[in-house]
Formats: sequence, structure tokens, C-alpha cells
Amino acid sequence: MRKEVHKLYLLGLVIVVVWLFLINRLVHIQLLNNKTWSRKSRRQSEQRIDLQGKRGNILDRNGINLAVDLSTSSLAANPREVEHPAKVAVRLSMLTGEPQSLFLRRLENGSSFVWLVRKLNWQMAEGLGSLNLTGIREIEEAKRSFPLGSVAGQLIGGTDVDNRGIEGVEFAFDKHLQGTAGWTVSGVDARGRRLSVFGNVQKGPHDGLDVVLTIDSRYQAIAEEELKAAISLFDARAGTAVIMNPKTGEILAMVSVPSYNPNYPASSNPANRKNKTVTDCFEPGSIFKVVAVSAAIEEGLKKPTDLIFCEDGKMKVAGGIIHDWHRYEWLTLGDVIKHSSNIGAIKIAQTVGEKLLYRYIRAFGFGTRTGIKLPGEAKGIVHHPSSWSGRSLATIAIGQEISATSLQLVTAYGAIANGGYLMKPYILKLISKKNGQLVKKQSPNVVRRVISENTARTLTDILCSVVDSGTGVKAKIEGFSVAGKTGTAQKSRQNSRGYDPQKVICSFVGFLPAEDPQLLCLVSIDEPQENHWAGQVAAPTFRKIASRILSLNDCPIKRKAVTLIASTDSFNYEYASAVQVENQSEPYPNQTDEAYPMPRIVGMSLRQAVEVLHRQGIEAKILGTGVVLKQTPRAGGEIESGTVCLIEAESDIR
Amino acid sequence: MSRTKELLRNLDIPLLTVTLLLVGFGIIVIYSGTYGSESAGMRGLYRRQALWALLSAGAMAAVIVLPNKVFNAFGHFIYGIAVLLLLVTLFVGVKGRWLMIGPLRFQPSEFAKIATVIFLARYLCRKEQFSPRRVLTCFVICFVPMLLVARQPDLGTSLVFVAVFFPILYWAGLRPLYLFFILTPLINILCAFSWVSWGVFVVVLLIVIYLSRPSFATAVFLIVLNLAIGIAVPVLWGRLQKYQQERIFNFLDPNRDPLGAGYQIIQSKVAIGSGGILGKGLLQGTQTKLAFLPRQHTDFIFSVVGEELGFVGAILVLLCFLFIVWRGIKIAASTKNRFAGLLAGGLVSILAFHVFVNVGMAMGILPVTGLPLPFLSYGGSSLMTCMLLVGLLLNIGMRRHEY
Repeated sequence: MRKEVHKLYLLGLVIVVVWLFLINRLVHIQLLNNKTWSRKSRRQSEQRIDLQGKRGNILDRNGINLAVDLSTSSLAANPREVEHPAKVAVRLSMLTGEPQSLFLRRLENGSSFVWLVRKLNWQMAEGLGSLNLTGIREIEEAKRSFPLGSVAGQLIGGTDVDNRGIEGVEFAFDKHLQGTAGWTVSGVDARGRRLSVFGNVQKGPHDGLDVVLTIDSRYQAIAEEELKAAISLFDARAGTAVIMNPKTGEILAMVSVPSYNPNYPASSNPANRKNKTVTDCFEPGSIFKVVAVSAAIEEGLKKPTDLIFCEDGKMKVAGGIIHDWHRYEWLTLGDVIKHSSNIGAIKIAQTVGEKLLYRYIRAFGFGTRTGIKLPGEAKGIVHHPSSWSGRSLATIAIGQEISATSLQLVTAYGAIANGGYLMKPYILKLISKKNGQLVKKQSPNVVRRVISENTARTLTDILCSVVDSGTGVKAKIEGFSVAGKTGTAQKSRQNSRGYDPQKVICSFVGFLPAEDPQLLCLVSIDEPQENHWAGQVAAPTFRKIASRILSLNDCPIKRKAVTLIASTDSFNYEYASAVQVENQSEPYPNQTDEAYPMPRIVGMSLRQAVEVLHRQGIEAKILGTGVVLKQTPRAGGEIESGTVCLIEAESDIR
Repeated sequence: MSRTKELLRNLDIPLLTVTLLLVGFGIIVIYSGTYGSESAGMRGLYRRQALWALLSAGAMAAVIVLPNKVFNAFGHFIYGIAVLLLLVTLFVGVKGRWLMIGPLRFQPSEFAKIATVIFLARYLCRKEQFSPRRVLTCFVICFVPMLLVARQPDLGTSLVFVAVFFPILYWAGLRPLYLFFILTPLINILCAFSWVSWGVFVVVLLIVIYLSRPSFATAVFLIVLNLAIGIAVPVLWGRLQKYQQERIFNFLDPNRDPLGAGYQIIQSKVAIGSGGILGKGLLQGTQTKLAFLPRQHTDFIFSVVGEELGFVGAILVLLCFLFIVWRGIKIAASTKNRFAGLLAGGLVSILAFHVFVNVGMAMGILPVTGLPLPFLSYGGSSLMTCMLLVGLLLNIGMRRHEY
């Protein structure tokens, strides 16, 4: 066989060639096209599972949660794996009350993923315990919850079903609140079943940031309650209130009533979801008069003591006649504001002139968005003098033919309260990570100086006189000097022909303490039916809101110490206000006329406390001076006539 | 004693070592390939394979010890028994393929390969001139078991009988020209699908006949046969149903049908291709663990190697096989006994054919025929056959100086 060995080697050569052929193929598949095949392998065997980062919380300035994420579960299905769609539909229909056809339609969809029920409530979740069906799985999802319910509802806004902000702060700061999504990879077998997670999470989801607002939820709640009470008392349509720290521009409360509970967006009237304090404009009326007066004083055109002839309540302006509600002959500039004389204000404005008035209007921030970063902010209507009619100067001077948002009005008064500096209002206090690490802190921003400090002080004094003995007496608060201004603006008719005397917006804007303003609040009540006077409608509401805020235990605003009263010229004011209080017919918020439980006096000034007790026939025994720290017997207990209440007070809390 | 010593000295230790390494490696790959499988039965397959490996090692030892003259002497018996078993299997076998011997499943078609080669070698070792009758006899020897296996149906294995036919006849001394003539009907069928290729084929055939000048009868027979096939194939093809034609196309080119016949090929390519240079690591293959690749422990075991051990693992396996083939050819070339030489050549051809068809299938260059990869694929009969095959090679190598 030896001689035939070459045949074997030929056979061997053929085999080697075949092997080279195989190896060539192997090189092609494994080395040259490795990436393509690897991608194919990953695409079919790995399924990317999206992981959602937790949405940040919204908190108020004291760390109270306004909006949080709750984890709930949702039901989803892979319709291809569901064995008996009809059965499943029946069970789900029983569980949720939705029609079977809805589920059946979703289950017969050809895709491999459908949502069945999003964000189960707890009853459904319990009922689900027994639901063990192939192809159906529970997916954990976050559900937005608003622990305070309707408190600051419009301000906070809300999220859609995918937890994205669509309204209010949720929308405005969605970028920060929204966590970044991550994903992990899961093995998927040839039948599309998800197996164990391969390796580690590839890209972790990042939780959203917490947004801390400047809002104090207690202020917010108080303002809402009082506004609601006023609306029902005066049979009004709606109302807004804004509370601001005039020194910084921080918004402490932003109320729009009727309220809206973001926990139940579906059951609310869409119109009530708006944060009307920034989205809605109205003609401010008399509270706008300070603009003309500011200009007159700042420009040195008038002194507060200058006398202005008020035409005995009737003045011709460009063909029309403007009336004052009370007839005045001569009023000082201060008294024009105090009594809210239209004619006086117009005459001041005429002194100031169109250009200057316009400049001041704009300087106070009207006609420009404040830039508070809340969605839907309106800029109001301020026409340029070039398009003013002959009547415009007069009507604008008294707050007509011009419109502004509640926020703009508060901000403008803030300039008076803050020594002439217009502050940029802001709602965002800070942004922090879940672990508390600070990301961004908002600091106050001065927009511009509008008036000098002297002018601001002069105006404050005039505004004090409004509350002291002018149209705003009902805003008076014991223990504080309050500066403010009423505004009763007739609403223009639907057909935009003139004004409807039956439809008014009653506003009051005030700040306190006048010597060192720390709390600035605007209340406006839309279409009160029972009473049309801001002084009767808005001013008392302001007082109630402010008093309740001031009686909060940790309210930073201090009452004037009793010892202080004698030393300053505000003594007379204080004395006068005490007399005023006695004359007031309205009861204190906590007090009822029929029953006589022991009233709560803790937190009141000594004077106030004695007065309250006195009115109920309780004798007071006083230890110390200043603010009441302790009372015996306690509030709420039953009292007999002749009870003596022991009051312990201290001049300065903290 | 000195004879035993001499035999032992002539034992091809490298061949034995590589073979045993491949068998051990196969058990590991089967373990990995079925790891994470849903059924416990699948997960335990590697143990059964190890048991089979032990049994096969015993059988291999026995084959090594027996003088190879025994196979020559009993060649016709062995062949007869194999054919008988195939017949029995067709009637009483499990799914027509397996015979049950106690708890063990046994696949006669595997052993029939060796039996056929032994019988062929025995028939061809008589030095005679090749006559058409002799070639025809060889053809019948291969054709009988091939037909029986094809009836099972096991197309891949049945092709092995054809595959061994040509190299062993060539090795036995048949002129390549006649091999070409034998092959003509097959080439004819492939060319008959287009008139152009068929025309070219006929021209080539006529030229070859003219140049080689075979006997007149042979020439006429060849021409008539090929013309008949050329006419019959298109006619028969036309009478096939559309789906039948599709099936044949898909068999020849699985990529045409990615969800059907091509699915396995594509998944196998994904497995091998995604392995890269070093692979995903043992037990880390996603293609096999996630059930994308069917038959990963039998026909597609090479894909598991490619995926988990990468290019390095796959090329090592291919080189191991090439090594075995090389040693086999060396043995065939060095033996002085014609029967032993023919047998060794046939056995090497069988082994090489298996590897080529299996690996080619796993890489998508050959149709899916279901031929196991020697030593690595799960299957006791296949493993035992392959080890017997190497045992025979070792036997021949040991006794290469004997006439």
C-alpha cells in the first residue's frame, strides 16, 4: 500500500482545506462581525426595564410636606400570555367597577404590554390579593399625594398619571422635581418571559429634588379659611389673598378660593384649578391711588399736608362726571388717601401728569410679569400714555382702565413697606437633594428702587391713618400698627360698556407692623352681594387673617411691648385703637356670643387679653407684662361668673 | 510479554489523550449548555453522558485489545447484524431511531457507520481490478444502511454512508475519473434547475468522456442516464407543490426562512458571533441559557462552545479534531495491512465528515441535517461510536507492522 500513501495525503489536504474553510467562517462570524451578532444577542435576550426615579417632595418653609410620592401598584398585562381574557376582564371589572369591555379591548390588543388599571387604591389592592393570573403583573408606581388636601391646591398644582407636573409648582419646577429615569437589564428567554436580572443595574435612576417653598402652610390655611368664611358671609363669588414678606419678597401664602384639592383633580371644576393670584387680572380701584400719590410726593410736587380741593364730591373730567361717595371740600393729601377721595386722587394725578404717572405705574411693576416662575402669570394691562384718552389720566389714577394681578398689587405695596425697594416676589425657597444636601437657594432680589425711603415712610404714615381712622378701620389689629388701603372697584359690564355698580371687587392690602413691616397681605373678594364696601368686606378679612397669624405660637412678628406704648408717639394710636375695638360689633374669631367657655388668651397682648376677659365678665389678675404666656383656667373650660383668670405674661417672647 | 510491550509502545498516546480530553470537555460543555434549563432531566444530562463516557472507554479498551484481524474475519457478520438492527429499529424502535436495552437507549444507526466501513474495507482489501460490478457492490453495501437510516428519517446520518463511499473507493484505488462518473447524476440534479448550467454540465461530461475514452457501454450508459435525469428533474420539480419546493429551497438555504428552518441557524450564528474572542464564559451564554438556541446540547453544542468560550475555544476544538484526523491519516498511511489501512481511511473520513457537517451547520454554511459533533454532542450511541472509532484507529496504529 506504500505507493498509494500519496492518496491519503491528498485526502488529508482536502480535509485541511475544509478546515481552513470552517476557520475562515469562524473568523468572519466571531471576530469580524462580533459586534453585529452581539447586538443581536443583546437585543433578543435582554429587555431594558425602565426605572423611575422618585419625584421630589414639595415642602413648605417649615418642612411640612405639601406634595409627596406614595408608592402604589398598577396592573399591567402581556396580552399574549393571558390565557382567558374574558375571565380576567370579568374579575377586573368586579374589582374596579369599570366595564368589562374596556379590559377586554385592552387584553385583545396585539401588543405585549398594556396597562389595565393604573394606580390602584387600597381597596383594589386588597381585592387583588386573590388575583393570580398568568400574564398579569403588578408594577410599582408612584402616586402623587397632597397631604394638606386643598390647602395651596392651585399653587402646588398637580401631576398627570405619569407623574409629570402639569400645573402650578409641580409644573414650574418639574425639571427639578422629576427624577431622572434609569434602567436595568433583565434576561428574556425565547418565549418572552422575564428571567433574573442579569448583572447590576446599568444606570441607576436618580430621585428628583425636593422643592422647598417660601409658603407657610399655616398662613396659607388660615388665609384660606378666613377667605372662605368671608365669601360665604358676604355671599361672594370668589376671592384671593396673597401674603408676602415685604423685606424679601418671599410669598408666604397664595390663596385662591373656591379651592381645589389636587388629590381629586377629576372631581374639580377646571376653573378653580387656576392660581388666580397670578393668572387673573382685575381693575384694582382705590388701592391703586397710592401710585399717583407716591409720584406726587417723590417728585416733590405735593407734601402730605398740602390741601386739595375736592370739588364737593363732583368733578367734570373730559365730558364725564366723577363722584366721591362722601362730599369733601378741602382735604390734605394724606386725607385723600385716608378717605379714598376719587376727586382728590385725580387732582393729584393731574399734578403729576401722564408721563410721570405712567413711569411710576411701570416702576411699581404694573404691566410687567413679576417673574415668580409660576405658570400662566398674567402681566396685566397698562396702556402707554400715547393711547390714553382724555379721561384716562383720571380713571387710571383711581385704579380703573388698568388691570393687575393680586401678586402685582402685593409686590407694589411691598415697595412702600420695604423703604422704597421693589422686591422680586418668589415662591421657591430652596432646592435640596433627598439627603438634605442643598442644591440651590433662592435669595431676595431687588428689582429697583421705586421711591425714596422718606417717601415710603410718609406713605406708610398715610396708610396707617387709613386703618387708624379712615376707610380701613376694620383692619385694625390690637397691638400692632397696621398700614393699609381699601379698594372697591366696580367690575366692567360683560358688554364692556361702563361699569356695573352691583358687581364689585373689594380689596384690602395692608402691612404690619408699620414701623418695621414684616407681613404684607392682600385680600380681594370678588362680587360680594351682601356688602359692597371693601372697608366692610376685605378689611375685616385681612384683620382676621393677620390676627390669627400673629397669634401663632412661633410668629416672628412681635407685638409691641406694653412698656413701649408710653414712650412713643404711637401711644395715642394705640389708645385710640383700643377704643375702636370696643366699638366694634364684630366678635373675635374664637368667640361666640351664646356660650361662655373660658376664652383662649394665650398669645394675645396683655391689653387685648384683659379686654377679652372683661367682655365676658371675667376678672383678670396679671403677672408680668407683654404677651400672655399662660392662663389659668385653661381655654375651653367652663366658667362661672366671678371667675378670676390668672394671666402670666412676658414682655418679649424669644 | 515483549509483544504486549511493543504494542503498548506503538499505542498513539497523543491521539488517545486528545480524544479523552475532547470527551471530558464535551461533558463540561453539556453541563454548561443545559445549566439553568427548566427541566431537571436536562440539567442531569451531563451525568448520563459521563456514564456513557465510562462505558465507551471500556468498549474502546476492548476494541484496542482485539487483534484487527478479527474485524476482517467477522466483517460480514458485523455488517449483517447492523443492518438487521436497523431493520428491527424501523419496526419496534422508539420513534424509529432508538432501541431500548434496559434503561439505555441505543441508536443502531451510529454503530452501522462503523460496521459499514468494516465491511467495505473487508470487501475492498482483496486486490482486484475495479469493475463496474465491484463498484456497484460497494454502492449497495453503503446504500442498504443508508436507505434504512433515511427511512427513520435521519437524513444527516444517512448521508454519512454516502460520504464514506467516495474516499474509501479512492483510497482503495478507483480512478478519480470513475468517481466523477459516479458523481455525475448528483451534479446533474443540482445543475438541472437551470438550462444554462445543465448545458454546461453536459458539455463538460461529453468532453471528459471524449478525453478519457471509457468503454463504449459505459459512455452510452452515462450519456443516456444524464440526459434522462436532465429531462426528468425539471418535470418532477414542476409537479411538486409550491410548499414542497419552498421546503427544499429552505433546506438548502435556511436564511430564506428566518422563523422556520433558518431560526436555528440564525440563533446558532448569534451564539457563536456574540462569543467574540474569549466568549462569555462557561455558564454565561445567554443564547443557550435563555432557550433561544434549540438542541444546544446535541446538534448545536459547537454553538455553546463558540458562545461561552469564544474564538479561542472554538478554534481549539477544531484543531483537536484536525489533530485526530491527522493522526488517523498517519495511522492509515503507516499500516502494512491493506484491510487496516482501508478501515482507518474510512473511519477518518467519517469523523471528518461529521465535524465538517456539524460545524458547517452551526455556522450557517450547510443545511441543518442533525449530525452530532463527535465526542462533544450529547448522545450515548454517538459517543460510543466515536470512541470505538478512535479505538479502532489506535488498534490499527498499534499493529501497523503486522500484515
